[in-house]
Formats: sequence, C-alpha cells, structure tokens
Amino acid sequence: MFNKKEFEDIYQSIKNNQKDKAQKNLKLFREKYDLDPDYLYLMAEFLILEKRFYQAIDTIHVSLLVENDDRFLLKNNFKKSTQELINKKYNLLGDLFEIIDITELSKQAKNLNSPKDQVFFFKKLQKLMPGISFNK
Amino acid sequence: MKLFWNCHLYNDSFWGKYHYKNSNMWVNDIFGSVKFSEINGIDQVKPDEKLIIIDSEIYKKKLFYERLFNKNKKIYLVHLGDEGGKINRNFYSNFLHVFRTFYFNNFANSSRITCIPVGYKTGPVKNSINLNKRKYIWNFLGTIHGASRYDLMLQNQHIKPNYINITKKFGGENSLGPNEYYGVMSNTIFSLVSHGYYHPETYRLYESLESGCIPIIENPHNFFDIFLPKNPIIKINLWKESREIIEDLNSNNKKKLDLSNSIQDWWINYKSNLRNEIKKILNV
Repeated sequence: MFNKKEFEDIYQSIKNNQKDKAQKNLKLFREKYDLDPDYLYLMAEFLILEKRFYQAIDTIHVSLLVENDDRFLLKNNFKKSTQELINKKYNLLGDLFEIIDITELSKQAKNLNSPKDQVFFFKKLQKLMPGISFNK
Repeated sequence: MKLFWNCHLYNDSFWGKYHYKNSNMWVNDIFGSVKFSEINGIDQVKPDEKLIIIDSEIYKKKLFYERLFNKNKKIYLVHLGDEGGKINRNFYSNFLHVFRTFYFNNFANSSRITCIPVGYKTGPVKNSINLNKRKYIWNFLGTIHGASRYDLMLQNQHIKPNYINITKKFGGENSLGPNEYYGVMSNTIFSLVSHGYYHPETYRLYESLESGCIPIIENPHNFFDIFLPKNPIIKINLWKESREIIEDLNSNNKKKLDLSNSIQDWWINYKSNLRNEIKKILNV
C-alpha cells in the first residue's frame, strides 16, 4: 500500500497501538519526508491514536493538497500515494467527520466511487477549510 | 532598571510591529508594578544596570545581540511570539532570566525560564456589561484555518444571537478595529476559543477573560490544566460538546453568573500571583 517499506512498518506499529514505536519512527523520517503524502497519512493515523481528531483531519487535508501538486511532488522527489491509500485517506476522513459529528461530510467522504468524485470532494474541503496549506 | 522594546526594531516584519503595537498593554499589566524607566535606545543603559528587553523574532537580530551581550550582562528577556518554540535554548543562557510566551514542556523545567500567557491585544478592554444582559450568546472572530474552527461554527450555528466575523488571515483586511472588537467581546456571554495555528494558546482566551466572557476552550493533551493550573474555564475536546454546555448554562442565569464569577476571580488571582513572581525573579 505504501511507497516505502519503512512506512509499512510504521503503519503496522500504529495498527498494533504501539504508540512509542510509531512515534520514534515517525520522528526518524520527519526531516526528509514531513511533506510526503504517505508520511502525512501515517501522521494522521498517529494523531488519531492521540485523540487529536481535528489535527488528523487537517493532516489528511495537507496530504491531499500535496498529492494534487505535481510540481511539488517532482521537486521533492515524492511519489503520489497508491489509489488504495488514496481511498483509505477519504475513508479515514469519513470516520473522522463521524467522530466529530459532521454526518453529511462523513457520508460524502465514505461514498466516493471514483477518482473524479474524490477530486470533487477534495475541492469542497478546500472551500470549507481554506486555511489549510503547506510550506512549499 | 531600564526597559526597552525591541520587537519592531532591526527587523521589518508583521509580527515585530504587531507585538510592539498590541502587546504593550499586557506586558504593562504584568510588569507594571516593577519600577523601571523605559528607554528608546540601547545606548541609554549603563553596563552595570539591569535591563528588561522585550523582543520577538530574535533569530533575525544576531548582530544586535552580539553587541548587547558585549556591553551588558544583566539582562532579562521578555520573549514574545515563537509559537513553534523554535528558539535555540542556548541563546537564553545569555540572560539572567527569560519570560517567554507559548509554553512548551522543554522550557517549563528550567529555573531560568518562566512561561507567561500570550496575553491580550491592546485596546479599550471593557467588562462592564452584566453577563445576563449581553447581546450575543457566543461569538467567533477570526480565520477558519481548518477542521476545528469549521466545526466550531457548524456545531453552534443554531444558537442565536451570535456574532461571527470571519477573516481571511490573521489581522486581515476585514478584521475588526480595537474599539469594535472589544465592543463585541464585552457584549458576548460565551467566547469559543479554538486551538491556535500551531500551539493550543491564542490571544482570544485572554481577551475573553479581560472582557468578562465565559471562555470555552479546546484543550488538547489537557494543555490548559497544565499551563494554567486549577482554572475553572470550560474545556472541551470536540466542539459538539460546546453546544450542550452553552444551552444548559444559558438557561440558568444563576449558574452562568456563578461560573463567570469563579472564572474572573481565578483570572484576577492568577495575574496577581504572576506579578508577584515576576517581582521576585527581578529581585525588586
């Protein structure tokens, strides 16, 4: 699912609720990959363990912003996430919106049937939360 | 003892000017009982004289500080800004003591560093309108960065009357001027205070306290229980909690007033303790 083996390991740590191990490894890759779309997804998953749901939404949002910026990806030698991971990002957004009680956005995020639908939802998110950006 | 504002000097930046213009009332509030004379230039302080320097964006002023440290060794720093806690800690060892805004755990365990609240924006602060006679039940004034602030608005949108002024950026073109701003704050019962851009603390909390509002704050990692111990402020994790809290309190004037009084008593007491601590550290 991830572009790097190390990211798979971090993902497994998060899923096994090994917070310290996940945090240590996320820290290890921060300097080089802090704006890598896959890394940002892992950060969002970690923030959920920490019950920081708003920050998790914002982090996925940034991950999607980077994902859609080909020039930035090329400049930093980052790869787009796999479609499997992109689907997971939107599903996770759906879960998070459910937790904070925004049912409408939750339903929409969980029912995106094509990449075109995903782009449409992403643009909607940008309009609703316009302050999310990343330092290029 | 001399006091020197350096935020706006040696650096032409938004934040330098912002702090110089907007933090002086807060700094005076907590340092005001210390006897000092304010100077306009660093040449007005003698080498053996104690100096309080108020500054921000210090990393841009290397040359200024090299010269200052050569001249004077008895310096206290009031370090404003630095929301990300990016200062090199070694730099602080050049001062007798540092008072810095934006609390981080790694600064809190040093006996030579005191973390102080970011405080409130300078302006005609007033707290004269009885809580039960205020016009707005809640307000939101500021930018919608991301999910938290969006949710704050959404969860409470049906509670009316409210006052909402959304700006595109901090201090942006449709921001309210100080008169209007404090006019709204002093006429609002509940002030919803979301997480800052990087840090949990924002100016809004202290502006709400000064204006006599009941703040409802987002409290990640129990930050405000650690930084402002024993405060009776309402803390939430998700904004859906605030809706119920507001509706409950707003239907009971006595309960609302009792809570407001306990918050105000705590804040007055907190500031008084902080002033005493500052005087003790400055040995005056």
